[in-house]
Amino acid sequence: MYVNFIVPRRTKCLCIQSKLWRMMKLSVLFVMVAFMHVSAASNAQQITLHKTNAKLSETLEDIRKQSGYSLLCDADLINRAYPVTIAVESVSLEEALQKSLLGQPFSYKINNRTIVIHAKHESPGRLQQQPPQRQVTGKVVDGNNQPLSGVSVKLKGGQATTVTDADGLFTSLIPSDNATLIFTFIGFASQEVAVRAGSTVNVKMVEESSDLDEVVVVGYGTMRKRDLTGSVSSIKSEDIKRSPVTSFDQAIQGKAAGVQVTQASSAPGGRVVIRVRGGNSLSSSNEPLYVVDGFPISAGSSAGGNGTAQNPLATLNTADIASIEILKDASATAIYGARGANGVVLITTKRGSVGKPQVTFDTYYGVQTLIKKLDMMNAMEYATLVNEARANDGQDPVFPNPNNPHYFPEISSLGKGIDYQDQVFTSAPTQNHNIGINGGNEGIRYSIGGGYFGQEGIIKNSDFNRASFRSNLDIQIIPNLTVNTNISASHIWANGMPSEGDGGGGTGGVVHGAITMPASVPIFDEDGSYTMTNPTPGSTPSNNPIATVNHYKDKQEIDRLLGSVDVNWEIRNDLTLKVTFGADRSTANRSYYWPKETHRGYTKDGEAYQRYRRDASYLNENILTYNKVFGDHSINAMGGFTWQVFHYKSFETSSTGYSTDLYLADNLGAGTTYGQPGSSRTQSQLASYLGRLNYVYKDRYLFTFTARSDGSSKFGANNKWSFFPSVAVAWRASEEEFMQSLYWLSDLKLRTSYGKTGNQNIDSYKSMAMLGTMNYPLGGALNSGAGPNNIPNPDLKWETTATTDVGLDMGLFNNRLSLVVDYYYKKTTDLLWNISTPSSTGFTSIFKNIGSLENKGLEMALGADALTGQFKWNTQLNWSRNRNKVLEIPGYTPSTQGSISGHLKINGSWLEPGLPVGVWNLLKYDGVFQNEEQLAEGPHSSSNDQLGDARFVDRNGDGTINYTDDRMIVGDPNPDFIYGWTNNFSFKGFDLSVYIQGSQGNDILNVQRAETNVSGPWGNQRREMLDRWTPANTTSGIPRARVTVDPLLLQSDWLIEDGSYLRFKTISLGYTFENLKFINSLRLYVTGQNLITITDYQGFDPEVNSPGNSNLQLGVDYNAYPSYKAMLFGMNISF
Amino acid sequence: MKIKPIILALAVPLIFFTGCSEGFLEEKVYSNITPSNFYKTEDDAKTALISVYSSLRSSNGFQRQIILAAEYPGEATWPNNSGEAWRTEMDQFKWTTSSTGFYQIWSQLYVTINRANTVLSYMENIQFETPGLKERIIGEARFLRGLAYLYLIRFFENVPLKTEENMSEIESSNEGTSDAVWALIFADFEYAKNNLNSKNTGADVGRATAGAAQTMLAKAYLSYAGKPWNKSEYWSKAAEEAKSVIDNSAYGYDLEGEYEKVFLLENEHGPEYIFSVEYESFMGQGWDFPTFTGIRSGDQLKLDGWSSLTVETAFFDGMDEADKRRNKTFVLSYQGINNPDRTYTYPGNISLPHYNKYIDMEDVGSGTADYALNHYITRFSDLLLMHSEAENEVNGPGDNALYGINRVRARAGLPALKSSDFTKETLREAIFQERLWELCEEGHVWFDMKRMNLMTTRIKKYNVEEKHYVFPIPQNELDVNPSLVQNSLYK
Repeated sequence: MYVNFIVPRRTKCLCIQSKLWRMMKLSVLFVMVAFMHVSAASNAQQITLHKTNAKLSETLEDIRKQSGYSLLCDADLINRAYPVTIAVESVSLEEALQKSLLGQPFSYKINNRTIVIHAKHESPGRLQQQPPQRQVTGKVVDGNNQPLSGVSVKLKGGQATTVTDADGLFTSLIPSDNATLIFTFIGFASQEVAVRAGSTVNVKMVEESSDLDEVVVVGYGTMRKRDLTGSVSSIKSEDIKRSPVTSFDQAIQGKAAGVQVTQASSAPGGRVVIRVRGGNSLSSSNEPLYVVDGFPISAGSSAGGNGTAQNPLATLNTADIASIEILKDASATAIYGARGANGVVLITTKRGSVGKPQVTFDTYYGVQTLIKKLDMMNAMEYATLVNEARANDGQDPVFPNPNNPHYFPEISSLGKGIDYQDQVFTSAPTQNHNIGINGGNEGIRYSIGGGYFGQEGIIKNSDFNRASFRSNLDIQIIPNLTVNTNISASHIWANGMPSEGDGGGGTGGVVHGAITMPASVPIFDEDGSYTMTNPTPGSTPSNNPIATVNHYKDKQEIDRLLGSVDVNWEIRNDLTLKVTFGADRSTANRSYYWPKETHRGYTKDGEAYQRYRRDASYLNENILTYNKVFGDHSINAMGGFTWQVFHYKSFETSSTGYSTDLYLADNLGAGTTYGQPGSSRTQSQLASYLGRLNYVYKDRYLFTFTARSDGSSKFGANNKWSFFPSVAVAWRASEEEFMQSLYWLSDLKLRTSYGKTGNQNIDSYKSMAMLGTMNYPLGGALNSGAGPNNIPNPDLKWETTATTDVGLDMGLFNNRLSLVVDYYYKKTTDLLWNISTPSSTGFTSIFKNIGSLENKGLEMALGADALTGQFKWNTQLNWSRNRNKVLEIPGYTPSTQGSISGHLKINGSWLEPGLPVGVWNLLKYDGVFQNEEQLAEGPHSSSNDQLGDARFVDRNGDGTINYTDDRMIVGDPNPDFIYGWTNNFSFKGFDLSVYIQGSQGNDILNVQRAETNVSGPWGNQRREMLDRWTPANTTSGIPRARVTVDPLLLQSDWLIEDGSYLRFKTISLGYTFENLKFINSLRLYVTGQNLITITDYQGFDPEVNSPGNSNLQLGVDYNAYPSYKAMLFGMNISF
Repeated sequence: MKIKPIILALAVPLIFFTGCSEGFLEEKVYSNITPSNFYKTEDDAKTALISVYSSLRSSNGFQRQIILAAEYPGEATWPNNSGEAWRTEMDQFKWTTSSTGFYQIWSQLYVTINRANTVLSYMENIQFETPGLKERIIGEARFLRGLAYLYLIRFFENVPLKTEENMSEIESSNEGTSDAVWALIFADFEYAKNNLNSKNTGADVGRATAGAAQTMLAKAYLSYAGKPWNKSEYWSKAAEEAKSVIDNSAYGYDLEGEYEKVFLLENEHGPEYIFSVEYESFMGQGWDFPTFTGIRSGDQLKLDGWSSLTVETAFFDGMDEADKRRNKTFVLSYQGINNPDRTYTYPGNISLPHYNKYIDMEDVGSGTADYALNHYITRFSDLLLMHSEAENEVNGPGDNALYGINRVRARAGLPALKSSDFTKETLREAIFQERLWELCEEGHVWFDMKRMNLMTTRIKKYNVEEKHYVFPIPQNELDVNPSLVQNSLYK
């Protein structure tokens, strides 16, 4: 026999005596206690009631008898109840209770076979006699049209409250013919609906993201948001759906504070760069760890090679995603140990829920166009410049050239010439179709989806296509044993066009060609075949981009299968074991062919290339979870061990010298000359022990301890294992007594965490002495050679990032307004770096753990249900700033890192302790010599400087310009801050979302300017160069025309531009039709992407990063695939 | 409490896991080799030796920077705005300790040295089956090591002496090493001379020979005798070694009949060949020098040139029009490759004089850096002129001194020099001039000017100082190696 007492919450802190005293007062209570019936009926809980205007106490007594449960209630309360009229036949206990309490100011709870009736919180202490009631009935559903039970339905201005039943149905009494009902439910925005007596209303509840009881996914488990001690950003499928994107990483952009997402290439399926709270590493990967349904995936799976790099994350269909969580601080990421330092992105895919099969169909079709064309010179303007440049350098004019009138006619006959951009760029369709089936019963739940995504590129003949399929099943085998499967398969096929860079050596990209090929050059030569390269004397050997887009073939394919099986065994109600086996396998192929129409194909008589790559990883995880609540103490503990193996294989070969172009890249044997084949195979292993303890006291003091020990094969023999702990404390101040009077404060949580995470993202075998292949030809034949490649480092280990985070979560006015603020400080030590070694060792560097850097920053996220009436406005604003600084690299001499362009001699960024990563150390351009006085005064960079030549700032004041001595930090690609602002409006069936995103204060190294803004014949010039210095235009800041362009111009901030921008990323307007025949709901929408971009940047697009995933080269625009704007028309249907 | 199942649930995977974890974290190597599974057999030794040869092909070394370092500061060549600051600094004698090429050359030569040392250090562990193979491999490795040191010491003078394989960071000093380095160079070439074949055939063509070793020994003696070491007793040793090579019929060296044939692909191992860096197309073993020197936008090459190593106009104008070398040395006239009916000439519609030596229309690789024409480290006419120089220094402008230079001049269609017209000093200058006509673009002139102490007198265009007779120890190297000392003129 159980007897439970319901004790008001406020009395919890009373001492024993007063508790006893309180218990004495139980005599006042009308207590009904019955012996528990040991019968089958009690399990089935079949209740039958037929009452008219009966007393509630009587009705409840009947229920007690029939159910065999105990009943506990306040007699005073029950006496104030309305009379009950009820007729139910063999219903469940819950239903009987709900119907009996319908319209009553009471709720019930069932606790250990005891029914507890208590007053609703909203209910006043005393009830007044009500006027005669009229009835309103209706149904409440969620966003997926699934019935919502337990929704509270309250009369506006009155006290009467009811709740919806298991089918989402309710009956409410209203005092007059017209009234307003307020619908509230945890996790959903409350709604007010005007009703008429006798009518039936249908209400769709909208999920509310700011709610504290929301469950978020964390590493190896889930948690209520209110119990989180770490910094976690969460993005729901609804937000993803609103901005159509190729891959989920794009969906994160601007949605999570502290997460910088840059579209490195706007090519269809192009790469995206993500930095969570700045880059921690100089030489390892800075990409976060991606975990799909618990499976840590390795991003690499495109076949690579030069040209457009594909985004391997695009293999995942965004339509399958239920939520994305980004773990940012150590409290959240330490559970991923040696892989957690760059943040962790958890992707949870959609799972089935109990109910009838629900079919959804989402589709859109749209057209993309180039955002802007660059304003280039026409043929006459260019030819004039060329002659002027040659005259300035004492050379004869090339226009006209009577020997070659086809290419060099009279300037006056040239006209506007060819617009190569028009020939290369085009408008391009994009489309996406997804179908999903979701449903299940208690034994099995399923979520199955399939989709096709197709995007053509705005560069002719480039595209990206994805077909994908996912099946997620949850199978209850026996009551305490479930099996979950997550299986997804995808196929990607795409056609690439060379864009980034200028390819050097005559393999130029088409963006480079479209911009630099002068308008004066005819597409075809005199014989009608393509003009191969720019024939203008003194020009860069730009290739004809039209030949490339029309004839070059570059096919890329990826097949990926990601699957895992979880076995969940509920050993006891508080103890669960989860064992996971999974595999992630992808095969990628790239094949390209340069036919003879193209310059590269012409020089090689056709060139074919094939590369295959296979990645596989296998995972086993064994996790034990323990959940227990003892009075005020709540414990959630987790521990386990995992191992994962990664395999990689690749193979590539090429051939040239084709008699015909017909084979394309499909018959390498048909060439006459075979390239050197290459292949490689690597393997690495990771083994881990991990554990986490969450302890919550009184729902307000929260503690999290996390530890993970990782063993990685990649590290030196002396450092195989690493340990990553973290500790976090949070205080939900709003739960304290003294805060209760602040009625406007719904939530206030202060939290802080500290912990260490690692980065083991380096290539395999870095610690070992390896021999390299070093061949040499003897007797005309290749001899294979092998020699030492590096100095071994048995001490090599992971990079460690220690993160401190202080955060505040605040909810105001019933969480209508929410604010999250975080300050963090991250210090990465043991930075892996190729540190210079005396090269008399035979090696110029050794890969060592040396040096440190820091990232610190502030991030804020503000959310508000600004308007909640019929016209709703939800707004989410996030803002973040990160400051990155290299602290020290002992033994390192600051230097430029790498080269951006070999033939233009443009170096990479400058790396120096005390400065952020990525800054540029170049000369400062200072206009041109306007007059003889200035020319006499100097400083000069060349002895033959003349009027109209470039001037530079003489930093050291020695009177001459020398690159090494006079350069200074002239640009920083790191933004001052980034932001995203999402606005969702709705009115009746209409919805409008406006999503703005931007970056402020970042510089871009616009390498394109090195060819188009140099007043020389290198390639076609921007029209702004018409304003160049001439003896007649002496106020110009643009250097005079020269054939031999001053190389220092390209090593100065002449190339640097402000890359700040504000972009209307998505504007979407939709209308939803409800209750159509056969259709639950139908939404039609139109979406504009990138419609408005506000920026001073002169290149194609400020959102650019040509070197892709490089840690050291940021904000470089080197003929990047230009961004597009798009208009999409779409439809979401659910059956 | 269901303790037992819990234990079981945890134990089963744990046992499985720990069972696998023995050696689980060991790295499994597939497509690579490591010292621990290599250097065991005769074939391994041969393969290891190839890696030393391979280091010659680096553009930081003999493929480009060494040639440029020896050419730009001369009077024949200039970089024509090619962009890399170092080239202009070299051309105009404005280099600093930080000029980029020095470090590239320094470090690349030590790559060769370390690879040779690595081969040599494993030789004792390998059981050789083939008679003489061990000595041959050691000989070739020592030849290549000697070659690298010869360039190093002539460029930088004070360099660390390394004779062991490097497996860790070691900071070596360069103070007072000069005599030991020279001794090693002589010993390496001497060993190679005594252990290598006189001539290689078939698949071995391209390997170092006894003749190559003896020629380089002569060159080493010559250099040691000249500035700044001034060990004049070595002039006669140089003359002796050179004479021995000229007279050795087993080597079979002779002048090619026509100068222009020396630089034809089909003839790159002709009678004049002594030692070259080997290049081949279509196997990733080519080089880009023809592109480097080819005419930019000149309609000259299938893959357009860069005009990055061009000819000083005065040098072009200075060559006797009757000199038969003129046509091969310089671009005088050609038909356009894209416009075959168009003729390009210099002087004429080509704006600057360009080199033509390495341009062979039969030499068409698969791309920019895939030309096959070899680069001579030394050839027979170099040896003849070395002999003349040494003889002149020992015995003055006698017949022996004139023998070599007159053979070279005869082939060029120039009149023979008469000993009566010369003093030792004027013949020295005449030999220098002849070397310039004969060997320009091949990477000799800076060494010649240094050895003969002619830099300050020959170069008038720029301000040449005493310090330009030696390159600075690269600043990058000084930064990471506190045991190094900068050459005194650069302190």
